[in-house]
Amino acid sequence: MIGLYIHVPFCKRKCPYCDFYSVEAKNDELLDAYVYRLLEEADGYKSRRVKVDSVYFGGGTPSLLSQKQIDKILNGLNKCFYIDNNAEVTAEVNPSSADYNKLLGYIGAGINRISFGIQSSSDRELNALGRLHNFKQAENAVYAAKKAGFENISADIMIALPGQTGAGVEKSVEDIINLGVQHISCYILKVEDNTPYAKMNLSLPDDDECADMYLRMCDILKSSGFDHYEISNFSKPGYESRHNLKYWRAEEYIGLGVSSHSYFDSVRYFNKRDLPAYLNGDNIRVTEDMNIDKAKEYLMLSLRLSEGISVKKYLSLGGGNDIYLKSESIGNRFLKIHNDNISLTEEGFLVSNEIISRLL
Amino acid sequence: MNRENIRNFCIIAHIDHGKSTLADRILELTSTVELREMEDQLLDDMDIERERGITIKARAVRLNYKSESGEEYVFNLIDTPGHVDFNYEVSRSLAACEGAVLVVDASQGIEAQTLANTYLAIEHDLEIVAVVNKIDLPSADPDRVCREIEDVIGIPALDAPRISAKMGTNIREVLERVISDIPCPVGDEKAPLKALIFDSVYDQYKGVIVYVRIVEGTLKVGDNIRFMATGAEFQTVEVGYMGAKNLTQVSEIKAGEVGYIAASIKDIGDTRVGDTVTNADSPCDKPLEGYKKVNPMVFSGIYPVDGAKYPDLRDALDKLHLNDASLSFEPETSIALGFGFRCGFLGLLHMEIIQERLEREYNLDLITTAPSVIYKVNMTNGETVYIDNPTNYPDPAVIQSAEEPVVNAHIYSPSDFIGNVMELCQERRGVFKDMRYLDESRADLHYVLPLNEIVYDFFDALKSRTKGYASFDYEIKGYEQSRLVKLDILLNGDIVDALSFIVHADKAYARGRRICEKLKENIPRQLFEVPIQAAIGGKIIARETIKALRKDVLAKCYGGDITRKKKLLEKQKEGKKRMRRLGSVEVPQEAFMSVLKLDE
Repeated sequence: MIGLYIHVPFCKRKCPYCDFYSVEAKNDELLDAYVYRLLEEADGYKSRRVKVDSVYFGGGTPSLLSQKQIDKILNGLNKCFYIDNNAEVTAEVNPSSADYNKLLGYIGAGINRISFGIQSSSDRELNALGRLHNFKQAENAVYAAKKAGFENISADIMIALPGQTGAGVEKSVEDIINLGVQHISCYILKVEDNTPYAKMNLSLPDDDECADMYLRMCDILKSSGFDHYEISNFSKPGYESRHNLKYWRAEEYIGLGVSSHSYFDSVRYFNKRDLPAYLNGDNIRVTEDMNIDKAKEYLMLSLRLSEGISVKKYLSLGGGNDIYLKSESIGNRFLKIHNDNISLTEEGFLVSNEIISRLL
Repeated sequence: MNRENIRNFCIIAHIDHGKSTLADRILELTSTVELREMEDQLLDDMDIERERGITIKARAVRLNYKSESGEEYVFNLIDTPGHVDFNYEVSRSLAACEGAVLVVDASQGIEAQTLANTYLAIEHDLEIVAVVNKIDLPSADPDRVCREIEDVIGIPALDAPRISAKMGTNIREVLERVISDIPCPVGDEKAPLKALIFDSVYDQYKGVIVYVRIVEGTLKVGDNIRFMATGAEFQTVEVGYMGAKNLTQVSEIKAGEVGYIAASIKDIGDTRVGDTVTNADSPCDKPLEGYKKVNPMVFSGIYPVDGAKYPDLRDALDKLHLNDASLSFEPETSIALGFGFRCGFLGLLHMEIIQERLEREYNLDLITTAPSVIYKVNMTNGETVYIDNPTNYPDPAVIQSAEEPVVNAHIYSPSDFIGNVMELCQERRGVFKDMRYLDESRADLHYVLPLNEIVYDFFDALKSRTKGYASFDYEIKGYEQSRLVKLDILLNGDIVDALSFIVHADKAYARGRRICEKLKENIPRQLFEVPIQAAIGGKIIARETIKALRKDVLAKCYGGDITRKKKLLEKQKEGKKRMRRLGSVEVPQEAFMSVLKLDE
């Protein structure tokens, strides 16, 4: 079964560090028009009778969609795909646009997992990130989600923020764990080119400080009962994000909406970052990779997971048999080799680009 | 052509003073090249020559000129390399002429190289026609420059033509002066053949084409010729004159004329610049004076970044050598860099040009080791060895004494920068000889400097400390005893042979420290901590540490954009291919290059 990703390219205001595609949500008509086009695009897959076990609303700010709009999308998708009864259906929700009634409506529409973009428990840091919420609002949002009946809640944390200290990271992580969420995604802030952050003279922690922050964060989360299952993802047992695992396990998914990416029928393609063209019904699909080197993808994606790779599977996909030799030369501080299995240590996660590019 | 109506001359000028532009105007005016064929700076036909505004190879062109009195003249314009590295070639080009047009920039005045080449021309008894160029510039001061020419060179210049080669102003006046001031060639057409080789180029169809000035005698197609220094003999297939765009075949060339010889010559080494060509069947009794074999002064190792390109590098060097007999190379092996070549050059510019041509024309990525000079080492057993590769420097225990080459250097600098220049020369172990003022605002500083101090990055340092205004010229003085040591660089505890160099004992500490710093800046962090050390013998004199890589991770995956991630990782992998693996340390090409420019 495959995953569905729905990109919602609207925000009330753009955060200065963000390079995802989103535009200002001017009015509800624009959102309605977009929902209409999403379903038109989904209709194109109808004849394929694809089975789906995860749906993910990402953004932008998907929580700008009303219960009615979410309902309409999920109903429409149900007509084009076979969505499993036990499918994981996630929506990214901005704590500032979440209230009890809306979340109750989302449950009614079929959403069963919420991912809150909380980022930090320090209002000063939230302000510097340009977020619309403070931590009190985040606490209220999580509380409201639980009250509405959500049992699978994820929170995003960002670390290595401008001016942040190790103690600041510890406090945020602990505060967010204390909200009682089942899943936490932790991202090290990366200043992307062409974002307002790139033009600011930010005082960011250096690489050594970042690494220490990351390792400290991992320790706190593990001692609170979270499994570190992917470089940036932690969960209580059984609460791994089914959707994101598809990416890391090189399984297929269909993306809908502007700037969404798909991996379907063994081809990778994406929609361009062009909302007017999308709304106009123009074909904005671009094929990027027809001849996928499956061994290479398996290696680079699965090494992000703590479960790592199976050498047998890697070889069966056409990978080179020098993988053991290369891995041994890197050393057990970064790589664990156990019979058929090769996986990264936490220190290895931190330098995973270096290691994967050596193994590729 | 009547010999009285032939003029053989060259143009002497500093870089940027307008030699090539003047040559272009002369070519236009003599209709040697149709206007539609004119390409700026026709004589400099290598890309690098045009970009750098210099002449690397000598070249010659035959021009027809109708004088203002209505008479027809033949001009042979012999272009000379303007740089000290090619001093010997310059001297041979001059020997082929009766006169020289000295071009001086009306706003800048005389520069070091100009003066050196002018003195060389005067030594060869050439008649000098001074010309002041760039009078169109707002900052032009032709009166001052004319006085400077008189004061510094000691030739009359008050009535020198004042021209603008760029605007085409007064060019005819220059040509009239060539006729009136420069004597026609002399020589006996009936005497045994004596021809001076001043240049040669390789042509893939005709073989080596030899450029000659016939001094005595006559050379005909079919004649058997002998190159007197090498003894090589050939039968002449073709003789002729050099046009700007093509060669014109004739049946014979005679004393006083400039022309070319093609004789199915395969190896340019047979045709040495300065050698005398004579008739093998009726040879002259002795060759022309002044021939010498040129020897490389500066050596460096050249290695392909990608070891698999070694054969390509060999081919490229072979091809460059076809046109440049002064380039020497032989295979060498470095533990750090693998297979490469030890190359010998006439000087620094020559080295830079060869490297640039290898990279540009042959599309090679190269690693070059620090340039070295030839050290003379007197051993305790009485033996003397010459060392051009620091790796081969003998153990200090068996060295009695060591000597290094030194040069007489002249630096022309505006007075404002004299302090900076002196400071630089002090730093480079220079010994001050004297200083004289060229005029109220410029001085000529004479220093004796060790060659190994100037092959490094002296010229760049000089330029940066004088805002680009100083010029510089040197000639080899000889060997002087010196306290030399071999400095080794260790990466992660292992000596990197390609980074070893010879240095004066007093400078070893500072140089070692600076190299460690530079390497630290240019070697990326590795998975483990890497010490960089400088050592003399077994003694560590400097150390830096590259901290271990702690963070190199792509955090988020944007809505399943796997391809972008994959591209990033592949790019990183490609980047690794461009690095050298020394032990377990990956070293980028830039790190090797960074130690060549320590003054930055």
